[in-house]
Amino acid sequence: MAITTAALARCLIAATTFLIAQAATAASPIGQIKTAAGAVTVERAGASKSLAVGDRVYESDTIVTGNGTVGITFVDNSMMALGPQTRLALDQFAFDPTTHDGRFNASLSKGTLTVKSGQIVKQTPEAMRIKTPAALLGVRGTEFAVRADDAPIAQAP
Amino acid sequence: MTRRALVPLLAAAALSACCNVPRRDLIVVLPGADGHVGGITVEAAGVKLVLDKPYAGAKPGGGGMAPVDVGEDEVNEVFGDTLGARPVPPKSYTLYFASGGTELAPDSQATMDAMLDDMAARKAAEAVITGHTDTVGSGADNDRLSLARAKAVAATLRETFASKGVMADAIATAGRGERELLVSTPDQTAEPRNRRVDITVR
Repeated sequence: MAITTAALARCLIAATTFLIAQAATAASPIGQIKTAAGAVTVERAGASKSLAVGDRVYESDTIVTGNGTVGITFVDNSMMALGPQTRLALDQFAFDPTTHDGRFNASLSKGTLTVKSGQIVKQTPEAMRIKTPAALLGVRGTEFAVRADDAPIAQAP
Repeated sequence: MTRRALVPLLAAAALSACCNVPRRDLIVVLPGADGHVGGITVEAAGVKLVLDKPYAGAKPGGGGMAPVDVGEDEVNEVFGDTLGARPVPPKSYTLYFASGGTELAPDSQATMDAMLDDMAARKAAEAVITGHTDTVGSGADNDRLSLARAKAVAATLRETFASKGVMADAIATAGRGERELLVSTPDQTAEPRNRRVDITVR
């Protein structure tokens, strides 16, 4: 009986490990590259690789442009375009295609970005937030442009 | 002057040099394609602004922040390359169906053709296809029928683009049964406008 219980426990642990591994590898794409020109790369899980039209992007990706530009459409139909010398981290993205509930947080640490909000914001105004070194933006539903300066913020004297 | 006294002096000089360079931060609302502007909020330096009109802007980072009107010329100068990289906006189509099956209503063939043309013109095109029914029949049957309608449209897409490299995972289908009526009706009511498939091409 003791042997059976131990075997069962091992089996459960193996099954759980398998499920966790599945969940980790089965991360869904959150968007797709629709336009790309010049040098565009993604930093993902500590590695950097170049991006082309048709490539998918995932939560926690950081998109980096050199002399290039890139345009991305996300699964909630929101859109972003990055100008040259830009760095954008897709910090958090969740979207339920049935209820349209979700959350979209990104950080623009330098460069230029245009954003058109999608279904996440239509369902929940300000569920999309863009952080820059100088400001925090809450999106209520519109198209807008941001340039972020990466110089340190001056402290008040 | 000792080395020890020089350090804070240099630090002060560096600080004043940094702060004399104006920051280049800029936030501006673009004129919405559909004329609707819900706006954005901007929080910086303890100030919160609401920008909800085209070309309304803010320049945070300089200790305090006031709203500014940004000219179209400045927008084009600063964001020209970025604006040029914007994806083609997603577009939605609605196809209608004959009662009880997956046969397209004759009037919807032109919409189907327009949708196929749109998809062909896009780079890395994707389609999100959602089927619906009217309230005739059981809920379970309508769940199946709505998905069958969505899959029929997906099959037409795959057939059309089989040789053109549309990715296998670029077409998503779902059936919503009679949960999302376009026209509200009582149960067991035939309503052509509810027998439909919504397609978003992006």
